[in-house]
Amino acid sequence: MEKKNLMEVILILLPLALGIALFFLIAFIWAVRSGQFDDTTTPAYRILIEDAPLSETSTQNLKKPSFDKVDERG
Amino acid sequence: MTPSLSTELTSEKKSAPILACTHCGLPVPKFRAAGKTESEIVFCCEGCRTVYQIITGCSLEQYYAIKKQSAFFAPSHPASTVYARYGYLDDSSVKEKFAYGENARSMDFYIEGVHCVACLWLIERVGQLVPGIQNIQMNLGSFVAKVTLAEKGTFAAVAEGLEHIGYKPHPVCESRQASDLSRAENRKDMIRIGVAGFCMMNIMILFVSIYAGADKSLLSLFRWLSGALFIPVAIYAAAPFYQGALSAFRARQIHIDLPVAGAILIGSAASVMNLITGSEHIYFDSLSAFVFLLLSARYLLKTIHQKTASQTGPGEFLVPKSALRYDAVTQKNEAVAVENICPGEQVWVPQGEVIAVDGEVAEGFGYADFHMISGESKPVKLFAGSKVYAGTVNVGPSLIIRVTAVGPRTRIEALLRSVVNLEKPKTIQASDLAAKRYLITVLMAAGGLVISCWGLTFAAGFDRVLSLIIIACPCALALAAPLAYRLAWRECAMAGALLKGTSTLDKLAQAKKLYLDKTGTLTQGCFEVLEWQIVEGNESLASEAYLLEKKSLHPIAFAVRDYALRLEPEKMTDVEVQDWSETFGTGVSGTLHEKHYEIKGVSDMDSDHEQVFSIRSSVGIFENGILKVRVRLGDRIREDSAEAMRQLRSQFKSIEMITGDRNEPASAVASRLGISNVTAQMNPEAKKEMLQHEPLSLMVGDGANDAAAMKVAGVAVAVQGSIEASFQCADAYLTTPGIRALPELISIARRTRAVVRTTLTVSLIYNLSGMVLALLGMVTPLVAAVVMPLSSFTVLAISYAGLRWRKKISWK
Repeated sequence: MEKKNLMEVILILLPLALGIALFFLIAFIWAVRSGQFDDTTTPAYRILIEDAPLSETSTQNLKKPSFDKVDERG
Repeated sequence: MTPSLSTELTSEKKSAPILACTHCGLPVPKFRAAGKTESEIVFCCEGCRTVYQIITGCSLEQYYAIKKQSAFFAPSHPASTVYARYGYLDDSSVKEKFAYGENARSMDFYIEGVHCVACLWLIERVGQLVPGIQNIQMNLGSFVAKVTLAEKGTFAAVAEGLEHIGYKPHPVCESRQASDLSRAENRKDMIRIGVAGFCMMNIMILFVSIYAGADKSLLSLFRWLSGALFIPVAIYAAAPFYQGALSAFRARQIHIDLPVAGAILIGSAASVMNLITGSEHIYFDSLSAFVFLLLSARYLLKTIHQKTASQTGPGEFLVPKSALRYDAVTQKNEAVAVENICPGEQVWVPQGEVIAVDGEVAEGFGYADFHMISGESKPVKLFAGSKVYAGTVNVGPSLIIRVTAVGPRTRIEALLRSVVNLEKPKTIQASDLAAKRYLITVLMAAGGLVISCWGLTFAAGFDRVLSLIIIACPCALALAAPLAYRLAWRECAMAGALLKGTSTLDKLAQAKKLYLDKTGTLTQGCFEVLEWQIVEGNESLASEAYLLEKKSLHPIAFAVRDYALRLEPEKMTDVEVQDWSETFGTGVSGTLHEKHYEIKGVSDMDSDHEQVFSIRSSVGIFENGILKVRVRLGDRIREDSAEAMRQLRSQFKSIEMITGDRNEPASAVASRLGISNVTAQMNPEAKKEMLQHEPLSLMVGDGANDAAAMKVAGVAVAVQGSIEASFQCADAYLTTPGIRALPELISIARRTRAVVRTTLTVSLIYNLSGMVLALLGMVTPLVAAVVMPLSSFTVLAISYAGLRWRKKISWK
């Protein structure tokens, strides 16, 4: 009798497990197709960069620098 | 008589600490560091100071904070102050070739000078410096940045902005189709791996239950389910193996895909049959694991090959792609792409620029650095009618050149063409050959097994054959060498050397005789003040010299000015010189503070100095007619050459210097560096002759001068700061100036050879003993499928331990 119950549960569990796994497979395929795996070296470095603290960044007054060469050769 | 004293350093300055440049981190020369403490901002040169000002001016100081925390994966160097012209990038013909994407708004640039994460950060924020950028994305693996412009952006502005903050951009024109195709292929491979992995995992979970002893109805369910899950593996994921086997079959060649495809097909067929008949011998778990692991290993190998094969190196950027066309009528300059210039037209070459065409001097006089063509460090005088060549540098005042040849017709291109046609034979990887031979053995063993197992039941025999094929798969064998080379390649890059291909390491390890060029390799390659000797009195006359040479555009004037400025920076004033005059070819003169000064050439008869560098000229500073200071100029030996030579002497038994320069300077340099064999006055053909019959030679040099010799040498290394022509014919190039990185490179190459030998031996032992065990029936297919990757992991561990954790060469 217990075995019968087990059997029914399995009939739900198996498709469910396969369905979840399938979902991840599809997500993986989508990620590959949209180019997320094309460059695997740079993102590893990018995450190490910390954002500057909010109070210090000013997006309003960005001076455009002058490109005059500091040239002692007159 | 006051004894002459050399005033390179006064005792005060000697006590200055060794500070690091705030921008590039390299040591600051003592005369600049004088009087400054560790916390103050100090720079090694004006280039770095300029870049610092620009970066802080745009509120991008975070760059320095990031830089402090990040490891360097390429050596740092000071920023340059010579800027190239990028107007041509927005030419429609150029855009057709290089730009792509929507409205042709994207272009790829290879960025020179990237050496750490902070560089990545800074480059991707160039938008704060230059308007009109929609997006910049940097790829640190290939140092290529993709620039996408906004509405009003120009590529020229972006390129200039990049250069101003210290990175030199080069437009890249890789064939777009080829890179798109390879990217599509990589994606397909990844998806196959994903599918195989998905199926393998689920099948294995089901099989756990089967092995654990599921009963009739559940057993049947799991078996059929695993069979169903196996279908994508057999049909889709394993497809590359079938294709490989098919083409190998057609070409009548032995290929690793043959047994693999065979194992999969036969195993699948048998499993399906047994599934239907209810027999217990089904192999879905082993086979799907096999396919997944093999696909992964193959993908890894492919990325290794792709990374080492395609390097967008600076080799293409030998001659500038643009020039300033001069219109004599309107007297105006126009930046145009070099292809669009015709012989007979005129170009204007400002001081410091690389000349982009072959031609004759139409107007102006001055000096050019023919180092690239002749190997000489002494500038060549130019008059009206003098010939100049593409790739040489104008070190004197601006010139107007009448073009005689452009592009493929220039002397340098002709030289390179003759060099590029000498193809080096491809070296077959030893492991490939071993794998092929090994494979034949496996197939024969399998055949022998089938025959000997005639007595056993078909199922048991089949088990053994399958195990045999799986465990004998030479995955580790094929993986060992490429893996070691990949790690070695990375180690070399960190040490400051970039390699052209995987065979380079083999050749470097084999090399027994070392041949060194002099100019630019062991020496700086350019004119510099070597010694500032006070003959009379005790004033260095540095500020007087600076003021007198300020208006002159002679190369000696630059060298003197530079040095004078560093010598006594506090004494520099901006006084106007009276009666200033320059006599071309002789010197300058003028009146300052009521005294008449002259700076002109003198003969060097002072022989009580033992330190004879590569002395080329002496000038004297005369005050009221009396010689007060003697300035010796020449091509200085690089600081790290001596130490590098010491280490190289322990690595090579036979070292020789060959140079196109004269005997005197050559032997002077050789004796200082402890090189006993010197051959001077060798023109390019002579160098080539010498190396033609030396298969185990290692040639180190630069300049188109050395290109032909480099092609015939056993292996060639090009030195940085040198002509990028060498990159086309050399097997390796050093990214730090001089030969500093060479000993480390040799050490890595030799170590790699040892590691490869070890890993090949280990994987062979693994595979052979595994085969024997499978023959004797002691291994089931599942065990085989798991043990096989174990050998790969062992190989990986050995390679890492051997290369990453080796003892590095210590630098004094």
